[in-house]
Amino acid sequence: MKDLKHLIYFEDLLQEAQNELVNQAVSEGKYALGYNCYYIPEPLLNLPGCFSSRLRAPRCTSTDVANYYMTTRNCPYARSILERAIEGGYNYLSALFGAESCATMERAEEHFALLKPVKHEGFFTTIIDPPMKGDANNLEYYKAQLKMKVVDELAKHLGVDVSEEAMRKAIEDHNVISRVITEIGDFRKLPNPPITGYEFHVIQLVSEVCPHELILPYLEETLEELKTREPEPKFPFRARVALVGSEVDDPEFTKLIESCGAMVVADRYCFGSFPSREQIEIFPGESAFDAICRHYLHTNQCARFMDGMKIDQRHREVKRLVDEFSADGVIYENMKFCEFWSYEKVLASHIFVNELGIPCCTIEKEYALGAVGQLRTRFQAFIESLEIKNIQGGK
Amino acid sequence: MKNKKIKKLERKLKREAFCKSKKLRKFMIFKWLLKATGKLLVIGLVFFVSTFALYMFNGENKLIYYVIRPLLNKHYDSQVRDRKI
Amino acid sequence: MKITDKVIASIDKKLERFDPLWQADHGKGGLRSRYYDKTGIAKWREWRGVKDTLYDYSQWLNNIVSMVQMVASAPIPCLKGFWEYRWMGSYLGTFCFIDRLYEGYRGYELRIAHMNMHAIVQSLTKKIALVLANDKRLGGGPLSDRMIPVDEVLPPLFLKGFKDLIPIPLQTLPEFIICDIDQHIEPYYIDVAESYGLPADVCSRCAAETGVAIDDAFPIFGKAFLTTNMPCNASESTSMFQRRRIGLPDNPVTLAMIHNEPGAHPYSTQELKNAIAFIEKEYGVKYDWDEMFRYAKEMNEQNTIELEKWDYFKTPYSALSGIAETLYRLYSWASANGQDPYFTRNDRKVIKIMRKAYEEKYEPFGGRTRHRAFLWGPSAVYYTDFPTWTQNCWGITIVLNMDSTMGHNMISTDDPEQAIQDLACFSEKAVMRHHAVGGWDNVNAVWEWARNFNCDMVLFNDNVACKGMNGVHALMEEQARDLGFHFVFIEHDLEDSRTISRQDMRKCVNDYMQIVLGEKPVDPTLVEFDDSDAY
Repeated sequence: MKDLKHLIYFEDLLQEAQNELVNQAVSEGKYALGYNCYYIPEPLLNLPGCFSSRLRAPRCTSTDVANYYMTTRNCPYARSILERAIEGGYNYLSALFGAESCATMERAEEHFALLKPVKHEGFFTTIIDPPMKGDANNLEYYKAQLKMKVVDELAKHLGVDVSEEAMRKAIEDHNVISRVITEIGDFRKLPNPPITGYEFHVIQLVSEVCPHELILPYLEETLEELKTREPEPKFPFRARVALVGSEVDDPEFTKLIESCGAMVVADRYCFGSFPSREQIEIFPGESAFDAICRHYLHTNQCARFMDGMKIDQRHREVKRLVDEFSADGVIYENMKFCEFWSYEKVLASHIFVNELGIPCCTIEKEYALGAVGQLRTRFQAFIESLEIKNIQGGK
Repeated sequence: MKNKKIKKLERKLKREAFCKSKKLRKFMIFKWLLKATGKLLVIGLVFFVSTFALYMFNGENKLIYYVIRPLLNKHYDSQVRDRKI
Repeated sequence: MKITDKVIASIDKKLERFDPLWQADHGKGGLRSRYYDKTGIAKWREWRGVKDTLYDYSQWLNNIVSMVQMVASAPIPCLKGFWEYRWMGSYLGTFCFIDRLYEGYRGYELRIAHMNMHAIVQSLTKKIALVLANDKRLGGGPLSDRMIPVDEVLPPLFLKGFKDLIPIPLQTLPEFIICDIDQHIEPYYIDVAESYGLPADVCSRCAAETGVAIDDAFPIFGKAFLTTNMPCNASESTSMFQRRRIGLPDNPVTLAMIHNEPGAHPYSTQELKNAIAFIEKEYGVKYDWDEMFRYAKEMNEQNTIELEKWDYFKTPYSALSGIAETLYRLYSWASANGQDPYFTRNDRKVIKIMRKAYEEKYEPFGGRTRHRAFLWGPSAVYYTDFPTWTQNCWGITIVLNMDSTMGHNMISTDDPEQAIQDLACFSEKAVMRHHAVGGWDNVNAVWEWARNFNCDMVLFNDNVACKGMNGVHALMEEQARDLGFHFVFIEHDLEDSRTISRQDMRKCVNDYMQIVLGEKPVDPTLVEFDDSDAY
């Protein structure tokens, strides 16, 4: 296939958290608001004069200082973020809006508050206590936490307009970029898509780490380009898989899977588009803030949710993606030392294989892509099994 | 006159016999209690000596560790459990 | 009496060479001398002098009586339970366990220790009998559907408003208490969980619970199940497996994680209300606040006495310290939680002895205390007698530990709305929650606690799989340096004794005491020994 016009540019943008577009927005006087997790709604960080910056630590292969603070027995993503902060990689941030999504994440975010590694005047950190169930009480608590630790803090520290109108505008803008990403992603449903999983991963990531206003024109152009892009004469992969699990912010991981012969057709992981790129609807009589909270609570697929409804929802969502994107199987990954997803992976893979009849390959990964040989072997074996199943199933 | 004397003597003897039997009863009860207490003391002493010996020489733990638990573990290891998620 | 005392004194003098404390003082042996290598089985029990040995013997009998009562109250279910459940077999190690806990104890500290232990034994044996007698797997009983299986970390006090229902902490018997007694039982269940793909780096306590669920080793009772997010991430996750296996309608009681903020309490209060409503619906019963107030009064009195105990803990004349304090507080708070008046009565007796000991200026452990330590972080369940070892080997008295500072607020006993708020506050500070999770201020509070309790040392339980505690490693170390506390990380793996053995844990303290402080041990026989095959 012909290379996408902006792909190399997007790849460049992903090499640093403080990329060209981030610098441009900051120099224009915008506040860069960092976050790690889906529990912090993106629209709240894209209110007038602000832009959201979902934190990554690209090419972070050594976390020596973070290891000293947090030991090596903790999530490598959290340690990498702390390491990058100490190295000065986030000095553009005006604030970090954290969430106690897991104990490790909370500790890493506390280090931001205690060590003050971000050398930006007025930088502050807040940490919300996210919900653990999808019921009414948890929704009210979620709203109270977001109001107290995100909205009120934005107004107090940065003088951000947090009015109803501002939030509605933020939702509208969010919906625009979400529509573009969703339309791009929907190409993956085709039997022979004009986009690879790797390319989509890159596109999805730039939409999370770059100011929306500045990246949107490039994304819209890419969408138009895809509408007329000629796919390969024949579907170039041997299988189609949904990539599900915990934190994945490195497109090289998707590239690795695809180099083994499976196209990643759906991305249901932290930093993925499921969830994050759905349309936010404001119900009649509902405030914009309430709509945001309701939406993010309902769509959140974090393994932290422990009520039956949310547990079942996670499995149903993956089934839906497998069906809609015609995936042959699921690659279920979890970050090493991630407790939530370690447990969820065991349960979910059992359900997929034994109850839903969906082939599943489970792997554990580091933050920086390592042990490529082992992963490659696992993926190749899984893909081969999918092929054989397809042949035997007469698919 | 003679009958009266005999009757008086008979009454006196009866009284004395009755007193003796009450004392005897008391004595018998006391003797029984003494015997019972003695037996209890002996039983208590045997109980104390045996349990204290068991306690002091850690008998029950040695029995459990070297005999009972290995047998139980054999049984547990041979169990077929309904393992599933 | 004088004659008796003289006789006893002369016997004690004649037999003092059998006293391991005397042996250690005179370089002729010590507490470890009487053990078979590796097994943890003693050749003979500790000679503590006539009075203390007879007392210890009487308490041994007392505990046997409780166990006999347990079996007598439900003989067939108990036998079936031993046959069915691997974890039941491990309860046979109880006497060994008690002996380990109170090695080196004499006088007042021995008495209080046994009073506390008997409270636990009588409660636990009754609970075991109750559970087995009503275990549907073993045939069930009349109370099977009146029992509420509750996650062990969720304080059950708030459920006492259900007059006819019996809340039972589900995991305590097969997973928690039993690991105190037998270090080898939970590795079996952990292996079961790992054989199904669970990684080895998750918290071993939760891995063990998951293994028990997968191995179908939970007793079966009740009509609905209350799970919880407490104390931490892994606990939330393991409940996914347990709810599936138990197969009952469930309600997760998810109290606030960052619980020291005012905004957290209304949320937690509502969670308790929702849990009550759930039980009302599932069991078809109504909540009775008057019934609840009855038990709240018990808990309030226990907490009042606990706070008085803390005053004595701050002095060198506390007859209660170390594991005698820790285990009792843990069990009485987390498991009994105000439900059993026996604990209130016990507390009244204990505090009387503590007052007496203080007035007499009684120094426990023969005045051999060299350091006063605060124990922070989740303790290794497989090494419950660790505080006893630190006391006997190095003269380090564990003055108080993190989990003893669990919910100690008073609960209203006449206003339902206030009571439920108080219960929420109370419940938020459950086992391993007050400090190990939920915010930096909580975990950093250790220094304040250590200072208030006149400690010169902080022993930091470093559960290698606890993400919350791992995340503050260097900060804790730096704080200790800045504040001038002796500080030792005690690495352990909570319920998996294979990863880090008891000997490895002892080595952490040994190295610090020998290399950093240059001290000689109080009892050299305790410095290095192998107890790998012990219960």
